[in-house]
Amino acid sequence: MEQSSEHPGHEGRIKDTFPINPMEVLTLELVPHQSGEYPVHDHNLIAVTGANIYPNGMFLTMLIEP
Amino acid sequence: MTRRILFLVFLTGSFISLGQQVVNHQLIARNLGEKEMHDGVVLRTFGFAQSFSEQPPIPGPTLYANEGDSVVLDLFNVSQGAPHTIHLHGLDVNQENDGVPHLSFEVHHMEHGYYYFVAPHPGTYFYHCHVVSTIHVQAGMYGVFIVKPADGSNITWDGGYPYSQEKLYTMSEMDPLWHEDSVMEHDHDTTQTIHEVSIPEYHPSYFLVNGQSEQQLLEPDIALQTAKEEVSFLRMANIGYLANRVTFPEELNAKIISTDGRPIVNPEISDTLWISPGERYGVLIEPIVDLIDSIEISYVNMNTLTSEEIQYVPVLVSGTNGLNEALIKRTFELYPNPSADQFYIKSGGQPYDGIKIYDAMGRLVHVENHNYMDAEIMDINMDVAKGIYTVEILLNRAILDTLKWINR
Repeated sequence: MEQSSEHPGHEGRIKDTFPINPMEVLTLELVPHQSGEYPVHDHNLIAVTGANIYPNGMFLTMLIEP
Repeated sequence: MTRRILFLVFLTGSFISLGQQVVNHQLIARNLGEKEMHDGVVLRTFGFAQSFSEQPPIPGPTLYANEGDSVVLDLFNVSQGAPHTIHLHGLDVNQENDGVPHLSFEVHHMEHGYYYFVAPHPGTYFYHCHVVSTIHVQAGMYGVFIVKPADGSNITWDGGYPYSQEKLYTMSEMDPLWHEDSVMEHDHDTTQTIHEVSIPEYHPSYFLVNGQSEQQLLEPDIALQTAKEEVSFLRMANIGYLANRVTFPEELNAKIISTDGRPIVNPEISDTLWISPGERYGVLIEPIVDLIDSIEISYVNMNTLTSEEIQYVPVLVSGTNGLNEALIKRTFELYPNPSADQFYIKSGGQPYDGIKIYDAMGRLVHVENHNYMDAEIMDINMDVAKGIYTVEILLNRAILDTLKWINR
């Protein structure tokens, strides 16, 4: 976590899950150590179902090439 | 499957020689679990069990490995329903072992699936099913995976903080409507990567710590029992759909030292901690005085930022007495009995903070609240009809003792 507009004291933490509050800006640095396709999603899991479809809404995947 | 068995042989051969171990865990996925809540209501659950004779516990069994161990998880799906997976949240596994069904594999009814990884940084992680996770996690398919340092000792990580005991508190919630068959029996066409589901608005009515709530939190395995100047390591983990605001008694000197399997470089001394869904925090506790108090866990709706419920984890810091003894010791006396509109409660030195009196029909007729009342004798006066009454003695809203009183 490189920069947080709301919690500057949290900068420098290494996280796999974190909140982003309304109007907050977070900057993250990612250094992949293995290739593959991995999910990136809101862990408030209500937000990964939408319009009666799962997965939907705040769910995407990240492709890391070899 | 053959390839996986060969891989296991390879792991066994290569790592044991380095002094590290192969750790095997089996989890049996079930779809017809039943969980009795604190008020006696029974909800249908999904979950992970370790034997066929038990209900799947919620949370699932806590799994352990040491840093550098080769871990093999055998997921056996005996659910007669949807496929399941094990997603290893935060454990940095490769794509094939990540348990996201359309990106790795899913395990169908009466099949085994095997997951392989090397236990990474010491810390607290989750495992949970990633098939229609919105429903399956709420249904109960989650647990904690703990990685200890390579030698398995009670130190937070190599070069970290030594401690004498650790406690795990996993927070979640349950909404009974989500445990109806109409929600749980969702579409699972395995040729599709997306599924049609129907979920109600989320209004949980059970707010859980280690699957327990309200008076269940008085059980000795939940309470934090420690002594002055003894160091305890708390692993706090939220796998619910609400955020937690945790408030520690100031006297515990809570220090937030790690999160999501990594040390926090500048540990934070704070009596409050916010934990969003999916996050884990490591908290070091080193009390300086004896006390009886509680850790307050608020369940916060993230859309409105309002607290929906508070649960209390009892804390007892004492050089000599065990919490068990302190909480279970029934030292209260009510006298004279029978009497007329007045009696005394003798506490035997046991702190309490409230009294509730119910009539024979179960109606609440009288309440007394105090701040940690520890007066030896208390005088109760009221004007109620003749009859038999039940008198509850409370601490942190939990019932310490129940006495009968006859008003004549």
